[in-house]
Amino acid sequence: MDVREQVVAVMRGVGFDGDELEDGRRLAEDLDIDSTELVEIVVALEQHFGIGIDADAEGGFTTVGDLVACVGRLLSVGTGARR
Amino acid sequence: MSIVITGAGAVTPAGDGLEPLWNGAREGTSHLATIDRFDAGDYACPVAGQADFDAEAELPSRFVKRTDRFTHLAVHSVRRALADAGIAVGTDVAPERTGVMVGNILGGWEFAERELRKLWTDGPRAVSPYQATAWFPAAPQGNICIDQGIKGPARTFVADRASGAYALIGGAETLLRDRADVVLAGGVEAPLSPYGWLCLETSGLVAKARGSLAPHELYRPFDAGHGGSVFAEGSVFLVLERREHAERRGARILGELAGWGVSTDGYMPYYTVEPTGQVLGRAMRTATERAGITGGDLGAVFAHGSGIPFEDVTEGYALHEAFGENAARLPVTAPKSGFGHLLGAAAPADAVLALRAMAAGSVPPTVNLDRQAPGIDLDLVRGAARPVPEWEHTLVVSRGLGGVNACLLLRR
Repeated sequence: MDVREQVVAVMRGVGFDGDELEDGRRLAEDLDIDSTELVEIVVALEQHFGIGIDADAEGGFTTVGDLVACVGRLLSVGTGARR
Repeated sequence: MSIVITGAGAVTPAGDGLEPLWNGAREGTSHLATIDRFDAGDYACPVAGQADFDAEAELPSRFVKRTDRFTHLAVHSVRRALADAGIAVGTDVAPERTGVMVGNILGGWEFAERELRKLWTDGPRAVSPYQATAWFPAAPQGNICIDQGIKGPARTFVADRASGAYALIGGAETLLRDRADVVLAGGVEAPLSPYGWLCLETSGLVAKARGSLAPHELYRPFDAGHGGSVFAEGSVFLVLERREHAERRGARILGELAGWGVSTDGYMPYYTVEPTGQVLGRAMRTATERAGITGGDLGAVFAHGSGIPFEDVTEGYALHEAFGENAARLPVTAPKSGFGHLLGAAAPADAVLALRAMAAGSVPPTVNLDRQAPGIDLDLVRGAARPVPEWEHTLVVSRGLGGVNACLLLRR
């Protein structure tokens, strides 16, 4: 599975339908994700990928694609981002 | 100005809706059984009323995951109550003119216990970020408002087993003060988690299992073998409106919340009750006086009937304090021994049953009342439902630890 497929799988585990998780979907406006649920998603991604995501430093996520890109970037920089 | 009831929703051990609850009560059916939700073998009371409610089948999965079972039960029963009343918030009533009043005692421990276990075993980051908002007793209130888009007055009442009655009274007073046009008022409890169940046991409220009694025989209000309550999970909500508002929209009126009375024992030790029944009796009498009636006008009493010996006996004393010689000839019943004491939802359940019973002219029996306890001089309904013609008024009694008393007077 590529990173995108894995992010979708993690988010399905959090309760989303795979169909609604296209890259352009906006987290707040389209998917009704509030700050608390974003924390849940971020923690689930951290645990799945073994990375540490500093959501504040990332400047906020707007779309599903932002989450996928962030995870991809942290994985590509390697162990430096690993917790 | 009068307050009427125009809809009801209920999820109880009897099933989803008011009809199964009423049918079971009228027949004297027991819905109490050995707990299978968790291993309750080491508890004094391994028996409960469990609601067969599958939250995943009724509510969105993302909502279910972020909330406790008590919120699931409450949100579902409010949806049913609004549908029963023919009201859509935002269409039939303004969101700002709709209120919510909830009675609850324990909070959401099924969710909380799971997450606290993760906290102590796996650390803080393993805990659901929803823990704080899922657990607290006002969670159902908030989620009802979000689910229905309600923006009027909302409040949660935590007053032990009188919580649900306080919520109905709060709803009626909100309407009388013209702070809302429609109020969802009721209560909810989901006590079936290992810690929640332990709280009820250590509070000294539960009926302890006895070899001589089958699980469904354990809850025995006013019976010589009474030894405490068997508790249950469930949620009951009523739709309250001022009569003019209900009539203007052509609503079907189920009955009237015509009176209420509250009092507080202020008696030590706090885990017991004022022993003469005078203080509870005052709340009973206030409820009838507010409705402009006397004890002689009452068709029946739906007693609190906790099955705790000193509560049963003093409830009898209180009825005599309140109504004098009428007390001994009033039909008194405690149908909750069939479906379980619903804690925060107990008084709302009795209120909807009283409305249904008055419409049918039939007082449901007290389940498991075989031999009346000595010292209780009341005309208790037992064995089978009793026909009562021209029955217009019912008193509903509720009380809780700390000496809180709250009584409701329902008019057909």
